[in-house]
Amino acid sequence: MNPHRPTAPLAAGQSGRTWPSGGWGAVALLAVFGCGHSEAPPAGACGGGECDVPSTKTELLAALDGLADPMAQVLRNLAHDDATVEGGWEAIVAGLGDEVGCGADTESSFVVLSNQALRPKGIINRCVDAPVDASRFFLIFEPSAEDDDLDGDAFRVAAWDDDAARYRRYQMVPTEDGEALAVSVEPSFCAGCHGGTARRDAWMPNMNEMTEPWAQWNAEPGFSSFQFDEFFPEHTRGPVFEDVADPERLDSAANLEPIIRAALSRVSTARVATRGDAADLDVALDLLRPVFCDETANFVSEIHDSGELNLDAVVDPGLRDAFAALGSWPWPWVTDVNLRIEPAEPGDSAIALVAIRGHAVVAAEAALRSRGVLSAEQLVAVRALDWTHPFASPLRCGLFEDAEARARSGEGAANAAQTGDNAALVAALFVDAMQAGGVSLLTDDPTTVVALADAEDADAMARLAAGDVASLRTDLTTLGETIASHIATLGEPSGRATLLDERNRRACLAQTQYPITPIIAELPACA
Amino acid sequence: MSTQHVTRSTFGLGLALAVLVLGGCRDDDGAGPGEGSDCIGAKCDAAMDGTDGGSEGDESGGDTDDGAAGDEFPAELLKTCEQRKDEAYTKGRPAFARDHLRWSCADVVGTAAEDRGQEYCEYFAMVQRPGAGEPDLLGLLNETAPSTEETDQELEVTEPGIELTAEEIEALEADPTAVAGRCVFTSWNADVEACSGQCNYDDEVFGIPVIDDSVFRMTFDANTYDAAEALVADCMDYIPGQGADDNPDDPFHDDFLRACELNSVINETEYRKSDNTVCAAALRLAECGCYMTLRVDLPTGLSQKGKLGFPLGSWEAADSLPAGCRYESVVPGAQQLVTCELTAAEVIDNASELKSYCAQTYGDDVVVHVPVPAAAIRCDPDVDNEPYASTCADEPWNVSP
Repeated sequence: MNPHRPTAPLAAGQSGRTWPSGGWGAVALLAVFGCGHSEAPPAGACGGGECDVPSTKTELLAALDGLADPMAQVLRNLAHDDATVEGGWEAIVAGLGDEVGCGADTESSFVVLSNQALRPKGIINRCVDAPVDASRFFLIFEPSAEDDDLDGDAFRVAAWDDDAARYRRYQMVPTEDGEALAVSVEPSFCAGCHGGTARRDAWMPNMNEMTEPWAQWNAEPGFSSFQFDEFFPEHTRGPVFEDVADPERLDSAANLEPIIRAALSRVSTARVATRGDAADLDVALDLLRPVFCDETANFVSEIHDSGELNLDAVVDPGLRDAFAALGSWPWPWVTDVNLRIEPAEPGDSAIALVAIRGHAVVAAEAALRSRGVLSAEQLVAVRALDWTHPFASPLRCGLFEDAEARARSGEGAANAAQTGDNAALVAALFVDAMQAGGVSLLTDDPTTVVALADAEDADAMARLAAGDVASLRTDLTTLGETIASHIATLGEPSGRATLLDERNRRACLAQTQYPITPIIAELPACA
Repeated sequence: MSTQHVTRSTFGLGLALAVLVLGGCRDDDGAGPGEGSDCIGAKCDAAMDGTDGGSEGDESGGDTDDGAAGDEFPAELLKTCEQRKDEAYTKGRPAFARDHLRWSCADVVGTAAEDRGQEYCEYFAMVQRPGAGEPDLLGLLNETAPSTEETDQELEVTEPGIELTAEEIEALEADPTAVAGRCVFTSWNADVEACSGQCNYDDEVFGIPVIDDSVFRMTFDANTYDAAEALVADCMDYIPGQGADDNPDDPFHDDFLRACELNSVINETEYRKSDNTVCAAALRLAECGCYMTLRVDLPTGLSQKGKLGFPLGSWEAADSLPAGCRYESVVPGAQQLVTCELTAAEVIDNASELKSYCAQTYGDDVVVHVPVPAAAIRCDPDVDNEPYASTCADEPWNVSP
């Protein structure tokens, strides 16, 4: 049996149990959020410090009505008349495993240091050898608000609903006597962390480090992640953690990565599936936004102090993909995964946790290109703007925001009423967005683009603002060679310091925009 | 002082100043560049003429038997060798262990697109288009003309991606999580036939029999049993450079770097993880006077004679694979052919360069293992005559950083 909270957090509410606001309820909400930099939660079922949960099975079944994910079925199967479930998280995992056809022998857990004082979080999956199947549910443990352990009662579940093509969210909470669990169905507060900066309603998993060396994740067996070992707060162990991270169950982040990738693929596929629907401005803007604005962030680190770093830190993966789609090129950066910089001097730290464009965003963009909604040439045209800043460029995002404002005010060239489907509206909005100083940033010649290396280059920005795009036009070969030179420069001895500065700049930016931003050691104070 | 490389056997005969400087590929029977079994691919030519082999040679004489002043380790080569060393000693993923040597299928940073597959592991993508009879093979190497004494091997590579029609996309989107393609990783040596009576004639991947060597066997000349055996033999046979006695930081004193320099001179493949790892182990086996207690020599024992090639596994274990991957048994129990799932959504989203997607997604985690028959190896270091014999540990092939 799981350990339980020492106090009873739930009280019967008029239309269901609620977490009392203030007191430990507020603390519990922080635990639920799991985002150390999060702003106040939005009002909603679990916002404002309270969490509504059904108090009868009838209420629970009503909340689950129409939900076709495995967790909904588990709750239907296990819930008592008072809408509670016994058996703790183990019973939930077992039920989920039964629903997706994955036995206990396929179960794995993953542990990451959270941005709540680096206290560990845990995730449990089943069918880990089959990532697509494993991505049907995630069971997530946050640090406990009561002690230094993981919270074994107030855990969360996200489960894929095939019918709705979206993840359903559940927040478990302990009952008053601590002997059972109640559940909040589809709480709205998750969007702050799992909906990206646009606070999309579509939940997507956050694995802030999707590639080796998974600095703040447990990566054993098979790899040692330097920060996890170094920063793991030993005092945060407890019976729940020991159970979740039992060596029989504990797995490497390397094996979570393909599961998260499969989950993100589910989300981006569902997102782009709306392209053929009748034109709707909100939907079209939602499809187009990731091309310009980085809704999510991920982070990459140097593989220990080897000088090997994921190339996404320097070159936008969307730019690489778009270039690759346009033909064969002589530069390895189009197909390479990694970058080589000078290894760290003895005593120097590895370059850790460089913010990069989120994998979910890149996947959403790729989905538009691969389905012909936007062309590779068009995507290169966007990514060529401020290309030395592949992450969170205000220039690129500003183009979208301006277009959105025009569209919503009816001033833009794109008009939903005159456009057949969302794909056509996206294309129209794209053309409208790609303008500066009243002049289009798109060229008739597909072999040339308007390229601007650095949006902090005042002269170039002035020319852009004046509509002088001719002076910024370049052909793709020249742009590719310039990028290759840029990469080569970073390979020189000074490159390490340049990258570290950029890491710091992005970290400060990320902290203001992305609640999942990890704690980054040795980060200078942000301005 | 320039680096000289003579064969260990020649050195032993007191012929240190013989003609085999620069290490080239001339073996003891006098075979010229590209002619002897010690040669690896076409790389020997350049090494022999000394135009691009890293160390400068001096055929007028050498002093490898007198390391007092030390040999010269070219700066650019040292940088490359240090990169390979960093990779070999990545924490948690060491290349050297008692029972195996290992490296991932991922090519090193900077590998040109058409050269991918340098690490005794080639890879490509297969996609089964909806309704299509045969799968697309993306980024697959094909030999158009074999290498000869005069010419290099000629190769072509199929397109690394595909263009899907709107109808195909629609059909794939109908079940986006269905397996619509596979990334293929093969360590089946280009010079090894599949069938010796126990081939698996039944299994197929998207309709292509797993024993089809035109698809699933490696193609590069360098990815052969002969090349692997010659690599071990050469690195055991040739004498490496020697560091200065009075400079403890001389890179030649580092076992890995010393081997990397030797490999550069012999093969010009300092850019490969595999060759440097194998060469380092082989060099230390030689320096430490190691031999096999079985009726095979070390080059044969390490090169997996009689097998399809080096077995593939993961960083976790030699007989496990990353999630989503499985072994395709060319012969019963074979671990030289691995395929990994590509969902329909992944195929659609990465159609333009699926070979790269395979490398990014799985290349770092599919790992080539070279089994080391540790129990059958005995070592008897000659500390009087071998410069680095005094540093031999119990398992010399398990090269320490």
